[in-house]
Amino acid sequence: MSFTITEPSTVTDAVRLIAADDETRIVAGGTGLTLLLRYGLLAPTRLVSLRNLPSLAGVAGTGDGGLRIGAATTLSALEHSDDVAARAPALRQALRRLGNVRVRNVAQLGGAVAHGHPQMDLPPVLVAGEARIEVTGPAGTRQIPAGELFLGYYDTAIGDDELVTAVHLPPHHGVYRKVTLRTAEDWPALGVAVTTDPGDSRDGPPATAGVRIAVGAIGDRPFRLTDLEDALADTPPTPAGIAEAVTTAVADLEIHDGVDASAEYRRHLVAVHVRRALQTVLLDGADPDHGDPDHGEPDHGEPDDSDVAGPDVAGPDGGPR
Amino acid sequence: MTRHQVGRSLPRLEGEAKVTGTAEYIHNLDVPGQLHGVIVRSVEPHARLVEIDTTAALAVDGVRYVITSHEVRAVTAVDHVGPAFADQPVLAFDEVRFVGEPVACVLADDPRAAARGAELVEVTTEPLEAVYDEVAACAEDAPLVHEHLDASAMFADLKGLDDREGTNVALDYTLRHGDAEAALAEADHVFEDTFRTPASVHAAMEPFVAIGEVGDRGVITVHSATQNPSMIQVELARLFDVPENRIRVRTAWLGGGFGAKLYPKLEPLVAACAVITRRPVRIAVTMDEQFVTLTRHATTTTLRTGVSADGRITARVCDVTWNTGAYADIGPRVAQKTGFTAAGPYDIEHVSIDSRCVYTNTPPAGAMRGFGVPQVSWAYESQTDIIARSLGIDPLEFRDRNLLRNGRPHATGTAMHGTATAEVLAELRRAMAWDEPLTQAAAPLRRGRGVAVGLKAVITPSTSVALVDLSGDGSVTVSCSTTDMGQASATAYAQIVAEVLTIEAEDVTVLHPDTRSTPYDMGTLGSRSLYHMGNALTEAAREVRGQLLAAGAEALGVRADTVTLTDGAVSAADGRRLPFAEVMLARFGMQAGNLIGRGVFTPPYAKPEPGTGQSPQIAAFWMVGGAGAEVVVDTDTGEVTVERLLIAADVGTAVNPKVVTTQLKGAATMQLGMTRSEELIFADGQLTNMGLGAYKIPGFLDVPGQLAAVFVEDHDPERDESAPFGAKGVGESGTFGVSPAVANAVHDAVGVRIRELPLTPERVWRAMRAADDGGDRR
Ligand SMILES: Cc1cc2nc3c(=O)[nH]c(=O)nc-3n(C[C@H](O)[C@H](O)[C@H](O)COP(=O)(O)OP(=O)(O)OC[C@H]3O[C@@H](n4cnc5c(N)ncnc54)[C@H](O)[C@@H]3O)c2cc1C
Repeated sequence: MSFTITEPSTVTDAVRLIAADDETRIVAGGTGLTLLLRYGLLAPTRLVSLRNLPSLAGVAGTGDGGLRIGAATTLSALEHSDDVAARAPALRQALRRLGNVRVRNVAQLGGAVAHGHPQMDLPPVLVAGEARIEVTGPAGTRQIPAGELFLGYYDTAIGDDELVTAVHLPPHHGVYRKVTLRTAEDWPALGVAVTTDPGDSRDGPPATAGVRIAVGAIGDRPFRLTDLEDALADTPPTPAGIAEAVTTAVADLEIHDGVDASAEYRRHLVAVHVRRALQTVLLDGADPDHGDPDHGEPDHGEPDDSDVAGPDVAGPDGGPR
Repeated sequence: MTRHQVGRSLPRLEGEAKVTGTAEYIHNLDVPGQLHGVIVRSVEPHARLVEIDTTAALAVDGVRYVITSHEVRAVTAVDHVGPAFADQPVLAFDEVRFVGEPVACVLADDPRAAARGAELVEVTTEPLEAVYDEVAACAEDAPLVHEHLDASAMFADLKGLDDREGTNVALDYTLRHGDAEAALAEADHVFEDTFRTPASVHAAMEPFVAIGEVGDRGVITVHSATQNPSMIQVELARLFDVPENRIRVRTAWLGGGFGAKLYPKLEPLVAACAVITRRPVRIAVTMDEQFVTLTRHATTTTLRTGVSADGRITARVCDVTWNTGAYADIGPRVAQKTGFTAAGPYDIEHVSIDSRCVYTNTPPAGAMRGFGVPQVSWAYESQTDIIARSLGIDPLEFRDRNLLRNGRPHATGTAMHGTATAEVLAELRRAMAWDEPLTQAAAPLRRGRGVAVGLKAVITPSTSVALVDLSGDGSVTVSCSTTDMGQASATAYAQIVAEVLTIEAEDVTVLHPDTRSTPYDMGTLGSRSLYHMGNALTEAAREVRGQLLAAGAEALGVRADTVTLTDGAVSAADGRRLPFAEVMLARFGMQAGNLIGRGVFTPPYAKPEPGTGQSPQIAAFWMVGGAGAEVVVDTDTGEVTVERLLIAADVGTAVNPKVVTTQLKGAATMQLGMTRSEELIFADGQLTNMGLGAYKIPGFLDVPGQLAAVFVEDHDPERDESAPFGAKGVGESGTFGVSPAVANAVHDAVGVRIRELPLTPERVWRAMRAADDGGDRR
């Protein structure tokens, strides 16, 4: 493995470099790319770093109440952005448990969008949030709806000669539920994003009609549960009504065995977590498994040393030792 | 008065060097002129080696040599290494026996050229039938991993194992105490359960690394991240048929070891490569390669237990099968030394144990923190709860009723003493507030709690030798071959020596092992160092003290029995004081010389009777480790949150309470990973989750919100006499109870019993579903 690294200072230069040949690759935070390099899955001869493109970083509010997020914004900057917290709560939840703090400190939104690994947290949020991905190539700039972006294993609709420059995210209300089955900082075994338009909930809980549901990490790309969305439009917003609609919809999904769970169990997890996410959003209920509506992080206090007994602590017989 | 050094919560002495990145690790060592080696590994689980074509690899720019068994065998006197059986070739010849077995080594000017060359070595093989499961490998018609088995010379207690044929069973250990079958037949209740644990891996931060070089007079030096330099020295001397003084093995701080870095790993290969090429050779394997170098044993354990109507265990028959992989490593010792504890910390009149170590075509399994106790305790402490609940007895109460107490014979026939089983259980009861009801969680969550207690015998017999050296200026240096791999042994040793010499621990320097200058130690393993080396050091330091007193008395012109050692000085009865430097000045006439103290420790041991395993003195000391867990189970999904994990352990004397606490918690966290997520998954002998991306070890967010360690300092005059300040090893005790305590808590919460680790959400969910379908929630 050997390559040169170039750090262009304009988007035009960056696009020119990546469009020049097939041996060139963008490197953003490098968290995903270095693994692909290490395992020999990619062998580019030139890396184009976005380090010198500060204009690509930053979060800005848009007129519709949503966000325009520069592709080179780090995930931790997003995680701590007040605008994101106010306008895109599901995105914030996903960020708080994405990978680990070391990854979030360097990984960029553009990398998280373009990486295309199926077991990632942001894709379902972007799909449910109906985000549009802005890409710039030799032919100019275009916007790809998130629902059309993810095509499969390491495969996206972004052209080899295109650079992700920004993500446009309309405002939403909603939640993201991340399920890990092995460790807290594991890749998601399942991610469920449920969003509604903020206008829908101005006077109390939103209507079941406008809800958008996307599921990630279960197949080779995130997908919307459109049948369920349709069914919910005619469903009374009660726990039983939601549960029944979810059970019916999930029974028809095509789900395969995964590395960390069988197809049967994955289907069951989808049913439980979609139901819980819908209950939180539609019935304004707290998460049944965490009791914390912002369940961003696993409940984890400081390790408790208070009952560590030292040598001078009373012995079992009650007397000093 | 001098303040006590033993009992101080002293931060580890190398802490600053570690956090500022200046601590010495072999991983950071480069030797001028070195070649870099990359190992070519078998992709077949079992095959005959037909040909190794090195042409393309040798053509790579920078590649200097491709070493195969052909070159290695030309410079070595024997073909195999291994501590229990000499069964493992340095590089495979004739056959390969697991995916990942080293078959060649490419040496190049830089590691990348070596890696490119390694990809181009072509290995032609003819597949042979393979076997992976430890139970399947015991079948009459199972494919044979080895045609013929030879025992090693290293351990006297494993002699008599040689010359076996036609079996995969490397060792079958048996213990017979009373008549267990007869007692089972008469028992009021009989319980039979089978439990399994998967293979797992140590995942030390610093993977294996070694550099070999040949120096003056042909002395072979190996710099290695090893836990037992002395044994590597012995094994290399045997491999090359040279005297031990022509082999030098040295190490530095280790980035973790956990048992993986015991016994020969990379050392024979780097030494052979250095002898062949006459250049220094460095091999540093990747994290992924660590996964096929050494693992922890997968096990299958069946327990049959007889219990009387009043809740007394009357008989236990244990059948334990250890999957030791393709090469025995220290597996036979695990099967034997932990096998004899397989009935648990209970006072049982009739015990029968069969513990067999079995070859399979998977990576070798060996020592790992707990040395097999976490596997057998998974079985016996799970079953203890099964029994208690089915008899309607509180599980803690049931344990208390059956506990093995001091003065009573263990199944090996050795009478227990200085072993705080009862106190550890009492601490669990107190610290867990066991007698208070548990606050239940709201649906769909259920809360539950459980406890478990494990018992471990320290590996016996073994020897430690130490030197304590006082220099002309009165400063003190300790020479010993204990490897500090993060357990803070160097800090504890400084405390012990400082205590004897009435100085501050901070003023003592503890050398890294180097067999050229530090004396023999069996190895840093099995929580033995503090006790064994601690005893040797105490003796050595006392010898120095004696010399100081004699020299000081002479200088002061008084009788030796009238002076004392206080605050780093020899004091006369009249109040005159001579600091050590002045004692040395008086003794040598200038700032010069050394006072050297020597300590040797081998604990008493009585070899067990073959067949029955009975011995009046089976172990130098016993470790007791208990765990209490409180969990919340999501009844919809089977997801388990461990809210609280409490470790109670018998530590003898806490030489450094701070380190004791972190050792207990660290061990518990490691075992929690083995409980919840860690499992090496094989498909046709191929490891499918190699590396830390696919094999998940706990991170800080997986540490339970409440993790605490309570320790019992048990003092028994007879044992204290034999131990350094009454201390015991504590590096493993935190592992013993964790897995069964969590499973018992899950059972308490939702009424299902998990018998196979890891305890994954899917397993819990399936068990709950089966129970709902009319299965049993015993
Ligand atoms: C230990 C670890 C744990 C992880 N856990 C999780 C997890 O739990 N959930 C999760 O969602 N993800 C997880 N990830 C994946 C992580 O989210 C991605 O690696 C990261 O988002 C990629 O961003 P990056 O800036 O590092 O991209 P890079 O690694 O630099 O690039 C990734 C890919 O995107 C391309 N690329 C980057 N920027 C652009 C751009 N602006 N335009 C076009 N193409 C671009 C690169 O060419 C490359 O193909 C984990 C990663 C690691 C290493």
